[in-house]
Amino acid sequence: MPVRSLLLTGFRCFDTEVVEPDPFGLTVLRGPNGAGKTSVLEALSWLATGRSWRTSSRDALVRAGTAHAVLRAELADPARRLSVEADIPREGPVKVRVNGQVVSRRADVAEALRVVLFSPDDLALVSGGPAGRREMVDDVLATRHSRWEALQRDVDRILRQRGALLHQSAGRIDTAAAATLDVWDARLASAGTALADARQALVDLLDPLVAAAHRRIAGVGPGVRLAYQRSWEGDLGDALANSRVEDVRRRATGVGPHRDDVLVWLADRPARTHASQGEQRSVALALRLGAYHLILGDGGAPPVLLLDDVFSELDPVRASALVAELPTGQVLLTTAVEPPSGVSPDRVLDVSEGRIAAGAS
Amino acid sequence: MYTGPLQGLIDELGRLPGIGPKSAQRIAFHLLKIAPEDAQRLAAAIVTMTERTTLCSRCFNVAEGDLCQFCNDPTRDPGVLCVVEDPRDIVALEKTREFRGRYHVLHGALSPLDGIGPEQLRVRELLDRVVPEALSEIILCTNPNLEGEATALYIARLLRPLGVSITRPASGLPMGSDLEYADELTLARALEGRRPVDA
Ligand SMILES: Nc1ncnc2c1ncn2[C@@H]1O[C@H](COP(=O)(O)OP(=O)(O)OP(=O)(O)O)[C@@H](O)[C@H]1O
Ligand SMILES: [Mg+2]
Ligand SMILES: [Zn+2]
Repeated sequence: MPVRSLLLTGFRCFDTEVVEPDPFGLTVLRGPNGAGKTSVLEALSWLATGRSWRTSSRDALVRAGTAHAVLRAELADPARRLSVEADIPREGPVKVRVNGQVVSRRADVAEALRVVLFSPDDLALVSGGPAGRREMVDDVLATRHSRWEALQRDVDRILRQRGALLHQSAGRIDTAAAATLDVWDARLASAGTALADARQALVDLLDPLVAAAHRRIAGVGPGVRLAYQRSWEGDLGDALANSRVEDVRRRATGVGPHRDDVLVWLADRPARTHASQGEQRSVALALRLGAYHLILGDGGAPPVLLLDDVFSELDPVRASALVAELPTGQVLLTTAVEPPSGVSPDRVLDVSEGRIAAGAS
Repeated sequence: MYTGPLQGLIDELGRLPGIGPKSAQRIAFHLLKIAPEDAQRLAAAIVTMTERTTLCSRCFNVAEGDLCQFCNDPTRDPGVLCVVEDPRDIVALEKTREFRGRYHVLHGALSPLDGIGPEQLRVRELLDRVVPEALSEIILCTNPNLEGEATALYIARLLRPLGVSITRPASGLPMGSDLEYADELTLARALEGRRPVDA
């Protein structure tokens, strides 16, 4: 659902502020560096996903001198009042509520609020290590169905249990410890294979969407291709058995979904090592747009698009191609400079030192 | 901060599970107001419980004396055993009235993160019951979460060579939950539809 208003209390540089973006069009948040523009997008993204792409530290999110941050989005649901609220204490458990009911699954939030974020850090999706790419795929899976989120949690916990066991074995493993390790391996083999299968299926769905988005941004030219790459061949149970000696020695699990990657090729060459900075940026944008179109295709209200400072990094041709790509749904865009021509905002908000005011467009 | 016996009690209460400093204070101040004989009765109840309650020497359920009420009950089917993580799970299972066998309490589940391996659980004692008691079926009723599933699988693999039938309650138990909190109907259905375990 589109966001009608967002209340920020004790979040980042905000004391208490209300942001009212245009529910059905493009809202530009403009202001000098350090004004709080990115923090507004971060707040929405946090509500939708339960975390921030900028930091995992609560101290950074909660305003200095405050114990709690409270975020509350009122959504523009034509049928009923709908709100998503998060109470983020500096320490201790976070509470997320949809219409006042505490929820723990991201899919429950996703029914009300879905976002797709573009940020300058997205470059790392292409240029950086596999963790960011796995996270992107897992994020899309988690919003699509709660069973994938449950599976991700299971895999994560099995890996931590197995890791603890490997640590306790201190480099040597007797028959009794081997029997317990067998059990965790069996769990990891089934949950890990299920997660890799789900990711692979998603990457197969994303591949043509990303390629199409890339053609629209970068024009005709070398195409983008995606493929999910497992860190093992054949059966995961066998692979775990084969790597056991090494795992015990290194006290870490060497194969499994936590070591997989999403390979990205540009013109049949690995984009990570071969593409130029600008090319990598276009591929990163295409990845996000592909995810956007995938979520859009699932039905329901279109996800809210959050574009953080994207134009500062793009040449004018790509910038206007991106503008042309902007969907008809709700978009929030931040910029410290004048947006490129072709961007015609429906609403402009001036952000300055943690205050937000309607600006003249 | 208070002084003397009052703070002493607040400190003791604060060590109990689920009771924070605020609740500890509230309980202590409540006790301050009640009649002395009520306070005596509460104190006596705690002391008597800790002195008289032991663990059943056979199944490790809570007991008064050597054996618990189920191990002592001749009407219970001696050939069928339900393995649970915690004595409180037995209460939940009894409410279903579905199960007429006896129990074995592990006192936990495998969790290397919490430093719990097979040696910390009553697994050895379970294996030692199979032949002497001529058990025919063992139902692995550990919690339907990761650690509970891993524990069930671990035990199933150890039991397999002993030739006893091993089952696990069917789906219907919400994944990631605690048996203690499952409702009676769900639990009863899960027990009814129990399946063999692939070990
Ligand atoms: N926990 C916090 N408490 C108080 N202030 C904070 C906290 N975290 C960040 N800030 C401040 O909030 C301000 C806004 O940061 P934000 O990243 O939103 O700015 P921005 O408008 O996006 O700037 P830029 O144009 O440079 O990207 C910064 O001045 C930052 O120092
Ligand atoms: Mg910014
Ligand atoms: Zn007993």
